[in-house]
Amino acid sequence: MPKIKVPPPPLSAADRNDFLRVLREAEEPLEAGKVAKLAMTSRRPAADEAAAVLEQFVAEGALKAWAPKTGKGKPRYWDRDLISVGSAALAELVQHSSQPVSAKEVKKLCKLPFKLGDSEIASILADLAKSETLYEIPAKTASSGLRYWHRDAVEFGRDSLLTQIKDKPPLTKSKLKTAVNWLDQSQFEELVERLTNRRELYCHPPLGKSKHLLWSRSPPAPEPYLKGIRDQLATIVKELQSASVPQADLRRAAVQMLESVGISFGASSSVTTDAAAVGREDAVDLLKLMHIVDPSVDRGALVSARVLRTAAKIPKAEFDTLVLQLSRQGKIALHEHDFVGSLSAEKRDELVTDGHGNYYVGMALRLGQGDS
Amino acid sequence: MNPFREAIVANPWDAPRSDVPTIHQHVFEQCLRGLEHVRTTQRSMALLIHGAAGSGKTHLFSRLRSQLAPTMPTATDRMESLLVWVRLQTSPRMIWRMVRRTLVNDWFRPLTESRCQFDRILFHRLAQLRVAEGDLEPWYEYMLEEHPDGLKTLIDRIASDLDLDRNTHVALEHLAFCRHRRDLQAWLCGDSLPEAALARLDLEQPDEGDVEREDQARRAVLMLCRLAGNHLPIAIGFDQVEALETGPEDRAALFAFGQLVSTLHDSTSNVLIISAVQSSFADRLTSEARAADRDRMTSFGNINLPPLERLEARELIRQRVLASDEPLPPVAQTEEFWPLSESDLAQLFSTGSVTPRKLLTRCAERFDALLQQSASGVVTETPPTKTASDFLDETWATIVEEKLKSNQPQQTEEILRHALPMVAQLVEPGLTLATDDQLPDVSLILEGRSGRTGVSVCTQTNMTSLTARFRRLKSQAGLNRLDRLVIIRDSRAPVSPTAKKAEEYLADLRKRGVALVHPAPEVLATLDALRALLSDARSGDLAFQGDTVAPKTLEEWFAKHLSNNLKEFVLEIIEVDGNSQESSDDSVLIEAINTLLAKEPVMNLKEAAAQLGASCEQLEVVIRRNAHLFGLLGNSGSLLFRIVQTADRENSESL
Repeated sequence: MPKIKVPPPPLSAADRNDFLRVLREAEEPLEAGKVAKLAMTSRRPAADEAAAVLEQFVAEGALKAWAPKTGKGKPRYWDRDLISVGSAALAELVQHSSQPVSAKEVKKLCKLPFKLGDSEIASILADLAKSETLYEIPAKTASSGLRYWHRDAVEFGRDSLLTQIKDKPPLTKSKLKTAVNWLDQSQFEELVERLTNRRELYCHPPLGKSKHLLWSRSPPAPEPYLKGIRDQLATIVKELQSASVPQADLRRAAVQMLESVGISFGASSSVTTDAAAVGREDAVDLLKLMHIVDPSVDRGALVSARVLRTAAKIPKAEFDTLVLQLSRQGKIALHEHDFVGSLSAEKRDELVTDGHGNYYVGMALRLGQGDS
Repeated sequence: MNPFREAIVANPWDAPRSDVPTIHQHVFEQCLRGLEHVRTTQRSMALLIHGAAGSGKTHLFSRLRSQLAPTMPTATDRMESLLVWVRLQTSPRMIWRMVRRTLVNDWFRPLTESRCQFDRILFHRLAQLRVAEGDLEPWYEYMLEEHPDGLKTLIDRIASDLDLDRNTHVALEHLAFCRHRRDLQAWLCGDSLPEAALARLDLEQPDEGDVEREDQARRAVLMLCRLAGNHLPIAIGFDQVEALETGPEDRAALFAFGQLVSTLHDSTSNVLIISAVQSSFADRLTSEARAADRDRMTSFGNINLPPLERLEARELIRQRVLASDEPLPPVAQTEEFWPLSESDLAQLFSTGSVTPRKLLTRCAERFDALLQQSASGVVTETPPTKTASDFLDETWATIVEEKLKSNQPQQTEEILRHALPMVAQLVEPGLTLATDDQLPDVSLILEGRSGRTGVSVCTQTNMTSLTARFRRLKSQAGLNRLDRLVIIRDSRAPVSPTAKKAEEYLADLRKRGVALVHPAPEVLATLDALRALLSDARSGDLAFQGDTVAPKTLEEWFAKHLSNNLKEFVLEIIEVDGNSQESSDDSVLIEAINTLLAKEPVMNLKEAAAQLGASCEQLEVVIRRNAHLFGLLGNSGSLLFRIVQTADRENSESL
């Protein structure tokens, strides 16, 4: 008697629901065959049978259909859609990036269990920018694409600008712009204003024959501006001295004149002396001296405060003031000594102190990213 | 959880909470360049990195670990490197033994799919003999299962090409065939192994004195570097170098470290030595180390880890905010230095920069203050409720518990040699350390009120080594160069009943007035905790509220909190009095009971007393005094047994 093939019983509601469970727990979209294999059903369904059930779920909106992994592959299913998963992953990637990334770079860096096409990436990034989850940063060059970051273009401009002008002399606004030439003029103006208000950038009065304002990361040093007046004053003082004007009268008149223009002489003498020393034309150039003491400072070596102080041959207070000034200007990095209590007074005096109980054992030149 | 806590990276093998690659990027890249230089030129180089406490030295090693630790399957076309991270918490006289132990343990550390760095070496060595492309692991598995003879032939060729000695050849074979890994690791570490384990391994362990063992460790390290080969450069990071010093004027530590670096530099061809020290120590290295050693220490550069500028600080804060497990207020996303205020920033950046540790500590404090924000919406900065002493109390309790759990007999020698001088100097200020070339088996010589006391730590589990050590000590005791000699034994490593000669020598030594002391595991754990904390303090890694706790502060705190157990133990060693004689007599009995129980784990008390030639009462007193070692069972307490700690039991079970 021929054997009659009995069709398998239909899948129960519990079986069908287990398909949903498998896909909810899956870390990537799965083909129907794989779902059938992983599900804990009353019997092992065929791939086609599973596909029919899954398509039904798609029609009901409980699942999303995904394109096959390869050209020859089969459709895949998941409870999440491409755009929402891709969007979360790309937002996460850009959020953690230390610098803006283009769509091309995003594609390279993004490790996803599914493929995202160029147009899909571009559309997701544009949507994220529209919702202000990310910000668009103008392209670096004409041929490279838009970039994306977790801060806006002006903020990125701030980082770039401050890094690039770090060790440079004061620059005109047009020169400043070249550091961030990918910003448009209005963005650039907004950036300069923001940085000036935050005192991260200082506007210097025009100097010499130039009529342009200058910009730098530190306030202007007064000496170059006062040089002309000093020369004139020197000539006049000489003439007055030869006309037998007493020294005391000269001093009184000079002090009165300076106080009348807003220079106060009320500060304590030591501070005045030290501060004056910092800008003096004959002040020791500690940066140059650091190179002489240890030529490897350019490669990041630390110069001991004791050694540099000996080489500088200047009083302790003056030396410490100069060093602290250079540190505040971001030119050197000071290294703190943590166990000052264990040192003798003599050894402690060799260190640099800020007068607030902090002692520094040495200093190193600040090296930019590209300097190493 | 406060996302700004955990400002200290204690171990680079643990994944850091977050990392900002741009911070100290140039130093990190210099390390990578160094490795490539070593690979290309086949010459070892050294890089000295220095920074203030909390500047991120260990964090840098952690970044190196995540970059270098091989996680992909080994393939012939993939450039790989090996990594070792040594925290120099040891005595300068044991520096090579410390390096050897750490290197071996790091190379046995499972990295991915239970593969370790030793496996990488093996695969690379095999790949040199077998011209192959692609992944090596499936091929190795195939050889192991299907052609073990072929694999053995390849191992023989490697040993012959590298001119390995017999022991190393056998060790390599065990590695290749995954045999006796646990005992093999201990042997490679230089631990004393029982004869039975050595017989299983078919390896030898020479019976030598202290200097020879140090030299043996040096040779083992150099040989292991050679085994790795020139195509597999090794980054050896030395951290907490300052912990080698016993005080600010300790020249021995500088000398030992200089010698270590110079030897590694000149006697290997595939090592990049990265020494990370505090800036103040770097200054001392420059001025006080031997010029030749200093030149080698900096052959690939001398580079500082600068404190953070504002932009870097902002990025660090941002990464911590992003990595937070807890939902944070929206302002955390919009304000770039949240939770810091303008005045915090002004204070932190008063000299233009700040160390990561100080920055994170201030952020953590601000975060806590914000959590306690009053109902009126006013943020009040709560005064710190903890004092430095409270902090040390808490840290101490945690670390002692950890050390008690992990304490093993093979650590005893290192713990005692490193920590005993520290505590002895606290108990008897003015006590000094001395050395004597004619007493090579005397681990420490302490000169104090009771004269010149020699301490010999004899914790060998190999009875041949122990016997040899006692024999040598007997002749050294006869030189009369010490006022007193103390032998320290670990009660968890008893003299085997068959080691008659060892017992004989020990009895002779006792007759000569040599004292015998058995420290309790609690005492050893306390000493271990002290050296760990003091090493952290000396290296600037012990911080409270962002400020480093100075070693002196810790020493003062410890002197006030010195436990009676520990003080008694130290006094037993450095002071001569009637009680110490009594406790030494106890020690002899302890040793004898231990030997007896090694033969029969449970014994009738009367029978034990008869065998030991002591009265039951005498025995009971010793047992009660040493409740951590022995116990009595039965209604009348007539059954004697040895206490086995959980860790010991687990070890013996896994064996």
